[in-house]
Amino acid sequence: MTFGDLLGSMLSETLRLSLPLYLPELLLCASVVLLLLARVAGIDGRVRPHWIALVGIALACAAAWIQFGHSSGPDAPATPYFGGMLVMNSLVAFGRLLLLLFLALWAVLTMFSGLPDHDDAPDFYILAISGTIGMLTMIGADHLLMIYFGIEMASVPSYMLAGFLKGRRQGSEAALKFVVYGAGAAGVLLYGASLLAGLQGTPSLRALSEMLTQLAPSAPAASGGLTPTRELIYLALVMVGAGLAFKLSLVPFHFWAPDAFEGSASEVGAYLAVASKSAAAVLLLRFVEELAPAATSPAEVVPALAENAHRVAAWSDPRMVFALGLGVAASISMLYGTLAAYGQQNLKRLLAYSSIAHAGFLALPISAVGALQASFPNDPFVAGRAVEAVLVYIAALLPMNLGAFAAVALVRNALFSEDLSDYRGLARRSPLLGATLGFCLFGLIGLPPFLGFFAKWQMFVAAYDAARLAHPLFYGFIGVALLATVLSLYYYMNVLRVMVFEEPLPATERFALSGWQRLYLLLVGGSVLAVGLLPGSFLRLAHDVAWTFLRQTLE
Amino acid sequence: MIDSESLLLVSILLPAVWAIPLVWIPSSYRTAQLSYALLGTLATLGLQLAVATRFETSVTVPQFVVDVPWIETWNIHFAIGVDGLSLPLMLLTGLVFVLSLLSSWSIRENLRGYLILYLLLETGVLGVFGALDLFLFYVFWEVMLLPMYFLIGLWGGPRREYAAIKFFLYTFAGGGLLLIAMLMFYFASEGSFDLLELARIGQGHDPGRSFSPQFQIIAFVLLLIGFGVKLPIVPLHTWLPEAHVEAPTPVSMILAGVLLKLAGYGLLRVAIPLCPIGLQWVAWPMAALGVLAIFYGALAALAQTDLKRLVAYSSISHMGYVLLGLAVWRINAATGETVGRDYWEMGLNAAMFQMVAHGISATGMFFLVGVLYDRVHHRQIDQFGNIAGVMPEFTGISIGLFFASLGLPGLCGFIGEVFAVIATWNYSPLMAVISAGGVILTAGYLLWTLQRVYLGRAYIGPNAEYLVPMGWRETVVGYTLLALAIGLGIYPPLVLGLTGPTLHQLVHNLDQSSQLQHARATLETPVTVAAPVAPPAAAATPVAAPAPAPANEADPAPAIEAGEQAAGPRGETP
Repeated sequence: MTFGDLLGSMLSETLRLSLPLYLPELLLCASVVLLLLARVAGIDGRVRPHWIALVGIALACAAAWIQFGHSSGPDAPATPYFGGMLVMNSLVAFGRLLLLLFLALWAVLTMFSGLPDHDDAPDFYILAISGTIGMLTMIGADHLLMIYFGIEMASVPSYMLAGFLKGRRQGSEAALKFVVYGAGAAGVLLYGASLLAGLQGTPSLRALSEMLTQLAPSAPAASGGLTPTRELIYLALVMVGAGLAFKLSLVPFHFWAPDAFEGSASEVGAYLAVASKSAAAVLLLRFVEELAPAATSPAEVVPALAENAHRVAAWSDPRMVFALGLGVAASISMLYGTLAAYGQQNLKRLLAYSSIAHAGFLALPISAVGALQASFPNDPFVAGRAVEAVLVYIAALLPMNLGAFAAVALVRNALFSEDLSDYRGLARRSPLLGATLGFCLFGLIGLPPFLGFFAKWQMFVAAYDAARLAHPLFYGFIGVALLATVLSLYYYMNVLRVMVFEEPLPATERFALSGWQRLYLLLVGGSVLAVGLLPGSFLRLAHDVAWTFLRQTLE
Repeated sequence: MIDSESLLLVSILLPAVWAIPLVWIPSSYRTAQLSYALLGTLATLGLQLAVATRFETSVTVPQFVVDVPWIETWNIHFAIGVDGLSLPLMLLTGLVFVLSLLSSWSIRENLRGYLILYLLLETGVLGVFGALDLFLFYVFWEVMLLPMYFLIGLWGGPRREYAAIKFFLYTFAGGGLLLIAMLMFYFASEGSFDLLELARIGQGHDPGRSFSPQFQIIAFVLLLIGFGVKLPIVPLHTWLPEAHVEAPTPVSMILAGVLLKLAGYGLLRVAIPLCPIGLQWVAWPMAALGVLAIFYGALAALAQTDLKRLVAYSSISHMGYVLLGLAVWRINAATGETVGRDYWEMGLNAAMFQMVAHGISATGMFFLVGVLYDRVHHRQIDQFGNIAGVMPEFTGISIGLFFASLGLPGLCGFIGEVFAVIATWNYSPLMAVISAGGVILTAGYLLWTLQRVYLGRAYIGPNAEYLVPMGWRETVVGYTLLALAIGLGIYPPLVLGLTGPTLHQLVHNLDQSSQLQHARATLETPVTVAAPVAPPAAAATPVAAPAPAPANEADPAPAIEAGEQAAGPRGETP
């Protein structure tokens, strides 16, 4: 092969395969460039930058929608592209669609919540869109270095967004804490990734599983005690896990979250709570999936419940240890987030702790995926319900958190306060706002018939699956999750109590919400209820995506 | 002519749909709003009566079944239907909601919100009674919580917020256990939420699947605690006095009249048919808890100075009979046969009857307290006196309802209590004696209250001038309840005719299932016993934990447990 051939094949792969798959990201990049140029050319006086951003995002969203149709079909293959740096499969397509959908809804929110004024708007949207490009890279990464790139690309704009309220001390504090923690976590992640790459001899994610299999207890080399390589693997996994847990704000890597949420505008809070966490969760899920025993061909699948299913479960299996460690971190996050939220008087801080708790609820099915797949190397589908649970949970958090933060933003615009005590009698002053916030909080508790109930239900199913098939420790996790759910009722309902039961503030005039704001609240709050009442097709979608994803890992 | 299936479906969903137009009735039209809502509850009751007239009492499986797939990936159905257990409670619900709405005229603030929540609550309750799918049952169960929380928290007494959140937390925690049990059933049945199918599996009539004894015990205990919060079982009851006392009168009527029954119904519909072995194993502590509730509730009622609190504790005491009636299943440990099957059937019938009767009498008691409270705005027993002198008609109704609650023969409270006690005698004479003693305490606190409030010296509390005779709405409510209390007492078949055939079938099925389990156990036992003779087979010793200690001498669980373990964890038919 001559250099010319190499160049030619690379070019044709890039042009024919990679660039079309990369279309949503390219559209986002184009809107970033356009936003910059509009300012230079001075046309931002005539066209609102908000619209440029929104149109770009909407186009990207449409492109992602079309690709989702292609990539999640019953026999769509997983496609590595850009020379194996990125991969496209149904999970990635689903995550991408979700992130872009969120970004579009979020951009609409910022348009009428008035967070970026006309001068700041290009900067604001450039940061948010760039951050999203980073998240899309994160979830599609098929290479340890791309994971790092993606996380950094997602994080750096987030730091700036967190400090976007420049004049406020709290905003600067939020951004600074976020940067310091973030930089530390990124360094740890990078070190872990480099260890992994060194151990397996290649930075590709695909080699992970093979390397772990060589260390599995059944392998002849692994007899007795920790060999140096094994220690290194544990170290590397813990480091990579810590980097991901930081993005997900799992305890004990959560310290940045409350301050960052409280100090930044609540729109930014929504961005961090939904987009950032969804991307981190999808990446974590993919990482756990890559750890799983080497993909066999579809013919070799032995159902986990079959008589001759070979079950591997041992403390010495690094996969199981990673999964259980994740489960422990998830359980602690649920309890910690829930208990810490009790004393909060600031709504954003309360939602920050709530999102720590939900990071735990979200990480539990991911750890179930890991445990199930570690136990049944010959049946990737055993983790189907757990993968489904992760997808449902991520998707359910989108409208619930978005609605809650949107309500907080609109109240802030009217009252200039985010303190719980200023929410007194809010439901009477604006029933729609109260109802939307109420629906979102009911959903976050997990009360039927709201959307969040099905997320919680799926989470319990995933954990129960892991408990009965993989490891009894999951029974403990179920208990903790149940306890945290019951305890969480109190602090969410406390917000409702203040809003509904207490007398309104002396200024009893109604909120002046514009028609669009009303429509938006109705849409987001209504979707939490409507999808909860008729969740059939939504759950079916998650089911199909999960099963397609698992099938694609076989190839 | 509308078919009965749609009639049933409409009667369940009507209140929630009926609530929507309330949004557009201007809040200044109070009477219009109230009348509109009243019309909705009346229509619901009417539809239920129409369903009842078409109900075939001798059929023991659910009738008028509507079954629509709801969530296909999980095999969850929107399945509703009525049988002899749900119909009486549905009728009770329809009636209590009408009567409570008639008592809602005193609600002043934010009436529209109240009525909307009220109607949503009715759909939630009816949905629980109608659900034939465990998942749907759970969803309706939880759907009730939110309206109830706001009804107590917004329109309640001075400590309403505390009472509301306490109610919510307790019930939600119970619901969590229900959720776990639901998960267990789903996976053990290989993907079904159908209550009838699950019952078949639980009773061992399904060829391919079964619930192991250990599984049934765990699931039953989870369900017992989950439902027990609501029933309430005594250590889990502390939310009840708070919630009942702080809730506004109509909501207290609903709480005591209907919501407590959901728990008893849940035990009868879910826990007992699905986990017969669990019931056998837990029967003794369960019955003991029933006796404890009877006694504890009655003693606590004796000590109360607040009239409403007294009635709340009397509810705990009365619901103890329900628990007792359900639990008294005595099994011959040697053969697995039910000893005195008719007695247990009587116990189940007693539980059902007691639920309906308590639904009437407790609704009535809270109504009476509400009538007094509306007039004088306090409930201190020691300040009342000689109400008979100022409100004779009210006193007449009161005496009737007090005696119904007390269990005087000829009134509705008698049948349930006496049947429960008789059924208990077969199970444990000691418990029967103790629970019969509870009746004396009940008579004690009720008669003493009657004496202190209605008779004796004149009223000394505030607002004496407002002690005026009842208005027409109050009169209607009072006489309706009184008539039902007398009617059910004189002619118990009104309820027993509905519940009897269904419960007869249930007892038959459970007896069969118990014998089946026992047969499986004994078939396996010789192998284990004859270990020296048949060495290869005996080598397979049970791996699972040893059988739990026997709860009493009639407890067959250990035998079955040992046999089942020998037969393998899933208990295949030998």
